[in-house]
Amino acid sequence: MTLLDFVGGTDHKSVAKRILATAFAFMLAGGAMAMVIRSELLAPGMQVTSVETYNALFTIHGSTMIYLVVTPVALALGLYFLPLQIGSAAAAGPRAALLGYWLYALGGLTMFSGFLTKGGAAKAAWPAFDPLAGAVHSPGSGMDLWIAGVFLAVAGTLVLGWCLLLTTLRKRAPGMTLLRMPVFTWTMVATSLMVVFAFPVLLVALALLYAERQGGDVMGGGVTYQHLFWFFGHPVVYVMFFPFLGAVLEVLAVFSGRRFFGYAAFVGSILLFTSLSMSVWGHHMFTTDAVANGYFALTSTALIVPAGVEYFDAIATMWGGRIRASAAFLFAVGFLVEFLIGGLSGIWVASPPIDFHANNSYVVVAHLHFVLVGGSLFGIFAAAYYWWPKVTGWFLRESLGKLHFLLFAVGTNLTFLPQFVLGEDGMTRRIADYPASEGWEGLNVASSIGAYVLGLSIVVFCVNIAVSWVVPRRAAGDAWGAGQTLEWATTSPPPPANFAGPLPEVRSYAPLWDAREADARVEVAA
Amino acid sequence: MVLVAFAALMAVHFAVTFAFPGADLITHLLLAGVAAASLVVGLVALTLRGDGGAPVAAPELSFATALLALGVAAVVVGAMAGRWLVLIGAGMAAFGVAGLVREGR
Repeated sequence: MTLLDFVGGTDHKSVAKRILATAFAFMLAGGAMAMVIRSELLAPGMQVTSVETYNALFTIHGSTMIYLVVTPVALALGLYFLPLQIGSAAAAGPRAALLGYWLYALGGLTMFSGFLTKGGAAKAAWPAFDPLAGAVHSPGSGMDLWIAGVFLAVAGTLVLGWCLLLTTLRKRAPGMTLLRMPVFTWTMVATSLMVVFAFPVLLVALALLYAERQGGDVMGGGVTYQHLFWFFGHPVVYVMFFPFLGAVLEVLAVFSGRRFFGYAAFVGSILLFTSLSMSVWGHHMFTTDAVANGYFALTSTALIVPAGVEYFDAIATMWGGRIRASAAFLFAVGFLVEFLIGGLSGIWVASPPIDFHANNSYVVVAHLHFVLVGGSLFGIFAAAYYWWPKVTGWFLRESLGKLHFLLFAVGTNLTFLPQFVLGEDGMTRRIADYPASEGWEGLNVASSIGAYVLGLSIVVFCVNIAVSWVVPRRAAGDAWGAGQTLEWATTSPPPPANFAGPLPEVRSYAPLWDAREADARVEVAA
Repeated sequence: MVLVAFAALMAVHFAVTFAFPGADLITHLLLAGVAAASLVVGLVALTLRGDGGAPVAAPELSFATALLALGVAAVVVGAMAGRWLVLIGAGMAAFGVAGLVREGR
């Protein structure tokens, strides 16, 4: 990619690759902050940072991972693969996608520039609660730059969400009806619905927050901001989950050698999942006593119904299959297991009495990280190993991939399982220090060692990329020899207009599987 | 149809709030707002015609788009940094829009 392409290239695959590369750079920065945070918590007392710096680090760590890493990666996967999966030569609105990328990248730089200001970066946590984020409690331009940065990044991802929705609506190949779209494409439709209808509310909330910082009680108290923020803040968790769920389900089908099980139930459940995910935000506000706790407990608990359908479909897809335990498959199974911990602990705190007990403790930190590491990062790596040969034309090394998986799984559980115990024992979240008399040091040491193992696993992933790039093993169009969806019907990497030749006939959500079945029938008949 | 189905589901969630006396105005407005907005977008989408996945008439490189993004970013940051940056950003955005118009010809 030349510098000119980097600045102005409009091909959807090129834009998606730039988003992925930028997000990876931000992930390394956010991960480094997590290492500093965990190092500080290794022992009671302040050893590594000051309290002020610690507050900035956890704020920018959370903001980076949510606004600048996982959400953009989720949309970038869609931007790259959705047009391919529906047999389109391009995404709708290629210039809009480019605009989205630059708004996102510039937003990230703006947020990080807060570290260069006199008072340092923002310190009001990733939701920037009002009045903590107000001018009195968060003076200085670091907070202003955070607001501007998040505004730009979210505006960029909003533009990308519109591109994906319009691509699905307008650019499907002949024969690709809605009920023949692949599973991953459906999860991207659900994702884009949440982006399109929830993200504008955050833009409004940020504008109001900025206005409040200029003086004046615009929102009439913090509850209004919390409503607006969490109306974005809960769906965004699903924006960071659905695309990887879709990728994982594709991986399970391909590496089990089976057609995806329960397609119709899946489509219904993903729409129900989407609508419920936009109706549960108040469970973040149970303790404010300002929302209908009963309603939000009901909708939050109801999430287990569509989630159960997805799990049932995933297990039934693998059941009786010819399983190939590739790195992608291992990460996909890891996704199911780790997200289950995050999901079930979510149902647990969806009960108001339990939430009152767990609120603001490390239980919530553990839950959030099992959702985002289990439901996002495991899925991201499953997608990375699965689609890497399609994007680059060469495979990642399987042996290093399996080592990566092993370290990542051990690191995840070692980091976050102790935090459930710490939270239950009363350790509050967002604290830079804790008293030695509480006896929390052992579990914090275990958690920090787990974080270092997670960091090591990312090093292994980087080594894998480097080794595989230096001595490439070339991939065919259908890299795994078992592709089911249309992206495997073109070359690896795909040409500029995606498909050089005619597309296979589309008669289901798995057209390549259909074609192989038809070929097998012809052979038997012959 | 997806959007209309989604709107219907959101309408159901909105309706359920009335079974809970503690539901406040913002809750009602947000749920009803999404239901209404997705219905409107869905009805507009029903009038859209698919193009069968044909290539899009857009240039391979669009520096005007990048300039527009830079201008918008400068305007947003300028709201905090000062009017001088807002004006520079607005100028860049204007050039970007002009470039997009030129690309469209």
